[in-house]
Amino acid sequence: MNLVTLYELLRGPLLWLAFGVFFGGMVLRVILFYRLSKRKDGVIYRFFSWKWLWLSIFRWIVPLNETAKKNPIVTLVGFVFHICLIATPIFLLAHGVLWYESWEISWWSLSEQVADYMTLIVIGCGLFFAIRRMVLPHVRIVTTAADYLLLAVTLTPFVTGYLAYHQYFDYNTVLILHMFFGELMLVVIPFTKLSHFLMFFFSRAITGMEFGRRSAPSW
Amino acid sequence: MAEKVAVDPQAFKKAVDDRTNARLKMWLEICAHCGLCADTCHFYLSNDRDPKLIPAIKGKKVLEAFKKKDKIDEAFLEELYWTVYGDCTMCRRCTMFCPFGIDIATITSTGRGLCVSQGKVPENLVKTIESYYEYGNQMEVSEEDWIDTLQWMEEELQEELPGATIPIDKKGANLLYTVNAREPKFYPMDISQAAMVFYLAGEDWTMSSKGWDDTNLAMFAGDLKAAGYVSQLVRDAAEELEVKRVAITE
Amino acid sequence: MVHSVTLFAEYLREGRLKLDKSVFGDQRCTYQDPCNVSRNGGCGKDAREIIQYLCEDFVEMEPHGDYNFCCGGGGGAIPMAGAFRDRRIRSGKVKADEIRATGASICFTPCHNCYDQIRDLSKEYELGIKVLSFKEMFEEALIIPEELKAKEEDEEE
Repeated sequence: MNLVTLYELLRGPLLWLAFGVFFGGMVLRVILFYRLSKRKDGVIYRFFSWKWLWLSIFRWIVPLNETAKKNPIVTLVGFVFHICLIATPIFLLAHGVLWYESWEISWWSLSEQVADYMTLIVIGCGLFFAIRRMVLPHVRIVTTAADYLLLAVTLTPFVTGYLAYHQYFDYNTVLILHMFFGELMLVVIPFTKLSHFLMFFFSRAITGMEFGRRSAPSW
Repeated sequence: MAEKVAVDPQAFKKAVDDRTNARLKMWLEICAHCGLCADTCHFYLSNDRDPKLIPAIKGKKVLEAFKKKDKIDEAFLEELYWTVYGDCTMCRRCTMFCPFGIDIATITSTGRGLCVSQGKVPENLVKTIESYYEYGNQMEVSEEDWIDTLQWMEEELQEELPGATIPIDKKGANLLYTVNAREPKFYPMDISQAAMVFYLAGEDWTMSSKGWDDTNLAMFAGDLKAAGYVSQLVRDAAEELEVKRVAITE
Repeated sequence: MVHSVTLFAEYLREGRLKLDKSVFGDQRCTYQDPCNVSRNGGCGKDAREIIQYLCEDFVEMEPHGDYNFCCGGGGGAIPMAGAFRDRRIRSGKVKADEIRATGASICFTPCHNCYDQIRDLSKEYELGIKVLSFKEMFEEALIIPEELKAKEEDEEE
């Protein structure tokens, strides 16, 4: 198999597959969680409250909580990391071009310079988390191989993307690796702790309501 | 020390299946192992920041139990036992500081439930559960002793406040007052003090001859069936006496 | 279901009970929020309300209210006793340090577990603190109308 067919594969059927597994996997998992909760988690529905649901999410989606106050550095790095992690691939000009080529849809995109910095920020924050895992005893002790692996899975699309943009090494090979790792990340999200991108909202809502019914804050 | 019990893998697996719910599954999966819970825990801080005592470790232990199911052995059960009973008081402080709001108290309680399936429960908690079933309270106080204590406290109180009483089983009272069984056993004055407060506040209150212990150590033990039974005792008393409110002691 | 703390706060608010603040006037007090009364019971504010009627020199522990630390006696830790006692006393170090930092001579708490635990901590960590429940404090500080009191001459024994 040469690089061109590999490119065609990753650009075509495998991309479909990756998006399919990502969206399908997440939807399926949410449905399964919902059905299980209906059977076994009556407490959620008995004390359901929109007020505490939103408060609990809001207080953490912006850093308005005691943990943020107590840990300003981790909070800052964490927020910057997540913002850049989500915004960069969505608003990257090169990705926009691909969407336009395939579907003739387009949206606002970042300047290439800014996107370049944001990519570096994601990698930098990722390294910060890796070092934090190794250095702090109370983080090291809960760390598993999966934690490093998933961090790597998250960072490789950014590292390869950066290399591809700057055309370091062999461009075609790097580009193919970039596509592969990007698709790999999409595929593993629904089945690992990376699913927290969505489960975060459910978990926060549930705990917010549980504390709320005792009129205590969960932030 | 708890008694030595051989492991029953099938019962353990069944307990895991029974206890599996959506919240637990989600929490055990999404914990990012960030360690921000560490210095929210009094066990960790009180023991010179021993990393083995951070809340996430306790969650991890229960997760292991969920994964092992019928593959558990005695050594693991022993570890689980000391973690869930000895290293967590289920105070829920860490949950307030967890970015995901992971409820370690619920997870610990589930871990205790798994130990219950193996009969691996601190001996003293087992005794209280047996006492709830036999006497309706955690301290093996018989109904006769209970009534005696109330009458004795009433007499004591009347020496100072001649008009004060401790009503027992008064139907339709506004308030049913329930106590911790440690009170008749070790701190009977608590009862006369409460009676004094109610008398001076002009409250229409009563005590019950049955279902008067508002503690629920079965819940702390992780024995849900017993916990349900214990809370039903007080509910029955409240319905029987047709009271408007039930107050629980300090 | 209502917790005594909420009920007592109601009585005081409605003026059904009157307390004499001067009884504990010169003694510094602090309050231990039981996890299951404050954070998990929502009664922290009611307790603070009672305290206003009860003592003049009141110092909070840090942190307090919903953010309090467990005393180490919760979750069945007191009745477990036996081999668990040692862990319980050690885990109470945070609370012992907090109490010491307030410089209080009385710590009150509306929970039997906290009550027993802090009494043990006072011994083990030499805090020299008196632990009282609200009821015990009321017994000292309640203002009893003259007509309800037993008459001295009838009390001859």
